[in-house]
Amino acid sequence: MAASIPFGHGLSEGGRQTAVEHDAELMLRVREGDVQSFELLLKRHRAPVIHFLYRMVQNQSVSEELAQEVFLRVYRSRSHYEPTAKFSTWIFRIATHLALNWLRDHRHERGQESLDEEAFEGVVRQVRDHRPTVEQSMVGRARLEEVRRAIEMLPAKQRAAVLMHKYEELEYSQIAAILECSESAVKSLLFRAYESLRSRLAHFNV
Amino acid sequence: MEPVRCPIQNSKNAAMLLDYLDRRLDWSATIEFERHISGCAACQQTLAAQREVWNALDSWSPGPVSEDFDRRLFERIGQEERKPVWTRAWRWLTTAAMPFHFKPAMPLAAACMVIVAGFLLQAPREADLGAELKTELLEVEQVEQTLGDVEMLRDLGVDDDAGIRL
Amino acid sequence: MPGSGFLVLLALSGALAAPAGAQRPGAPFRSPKLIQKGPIARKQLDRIERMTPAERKRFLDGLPEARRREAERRFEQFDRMSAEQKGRLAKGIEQLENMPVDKRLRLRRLYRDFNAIPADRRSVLRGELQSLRKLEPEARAERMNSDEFRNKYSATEQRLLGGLSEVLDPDER
Repeated sequence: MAASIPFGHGLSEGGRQTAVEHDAELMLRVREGDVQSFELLLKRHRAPVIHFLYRMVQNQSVSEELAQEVFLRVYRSRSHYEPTAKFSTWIFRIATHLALNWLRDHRHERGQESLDEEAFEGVVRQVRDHRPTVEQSMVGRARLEEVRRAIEMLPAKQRAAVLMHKYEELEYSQIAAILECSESAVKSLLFRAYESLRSRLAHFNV
Repeated sequence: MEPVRCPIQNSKNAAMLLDYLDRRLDWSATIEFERHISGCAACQQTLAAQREVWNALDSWSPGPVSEDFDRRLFERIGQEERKPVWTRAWRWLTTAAMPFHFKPAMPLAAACMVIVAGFLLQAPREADLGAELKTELLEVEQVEQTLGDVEMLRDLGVDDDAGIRL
Repeated sequence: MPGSGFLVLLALSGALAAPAGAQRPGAPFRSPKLIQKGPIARKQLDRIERMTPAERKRFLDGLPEARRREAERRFEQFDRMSAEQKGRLAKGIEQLENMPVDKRLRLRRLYRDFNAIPADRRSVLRGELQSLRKLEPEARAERMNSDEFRNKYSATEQRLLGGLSEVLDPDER
């Protein structure tokens, strides 16, 4: 009888399983026909994928459509899944490809976006201790718009690298696998991206 | 250890700045780099600016995910599962398996169709997958889910012989 | 010309390929089951049935407090069922697993809303649901459009009954 492998808690073979191992294990179960495991993966990765796509394309409804396509592709690929890379690397690779494709295909439209209501869909983190004044809200929105524009002005690959590095906290090796380049190329992308962002955003008062 | 060359002035060392900010430098490299920073105005300015950038980026939180996201996704999955298998195979060939920049040429697409046909002939039948499940896993979340489903069906009165039409 | 060569290959691959779940001519369409779900569901139910007290305790001890209480309550419920009832539920569980995913998700959401209704109303709805499931779709629609039905149930309850009776449409009447 094979050793039982408790899910998310308990001990098996001397150690606690990590979320990374769970992802691969869940996906292997999806491969075997277990749709519940797919629902668990969706629950775990839905928000990070949508948030990443939102910051890439800066449109809420588009980001959700692209995210749907990401999970559809994961589901479609289930019978051929092999855990050769981290699940998060794989899913972000799909997301990045879709986002880069979308940005390329909608390049000519993006000049108009900053004027649209949807450009302000992001939420400004409010100061915790007190309600913002009207002035603070206005400053907050202006700041958000500057951040959004600064990210939008980055070339697509630099944007993807920054978003994965800053918000998803992915390793250089993961980002390299996702962008299909070397780690040193990733560092170069990040360095140039942050240089641009510093020149645009570094006047903010904390 | 050799003194650190300023990463601002020396592009070969640029990655070091990023590694320092990411806390990826080892202990001795960190000490040396901090020694350099203490005397380098350019690096101090850059680090301060980078922290401001990160604070600014922290202020940007996306809005909430739509409540019906999952429902829409599973509707699409359900619709796809009801399509003929060759449609799904073709979609898999042209989307999931292909890098985003690669557009398959017609002859290659034709070759892929033949390969898929061969695969379908040789692929194990679905019943074999069930028979191959040899592990006896005690899966906590699945057990909880099953207990929950039993309760759901009982609560809804679906414990008669009529079953459910699929 | 590449186009005609492709069409020949396409026709050939279509003729040779054996589609999963081949349909009999004239038979009602059944979604091809690319995934064998039955054994997994049945396996879990059998496992719950065969758990020794020690295994059950180990299972429960590993859960956070709230989940442990819930699981314990459900185990006790399960223990109180007759063998016959368990057998019928096992069939329901397998059918649930074989449902198209969107339908299953819809069912879970309707059940979540059902549970938000006060307990005394739930038992009334349960009885009504059982009656509705016994009706043919046309008779069911007639019942649900009747004044008596609309007066008896709130808008939310009507929505739930409609959704649940549709999702849980019986295989046999």
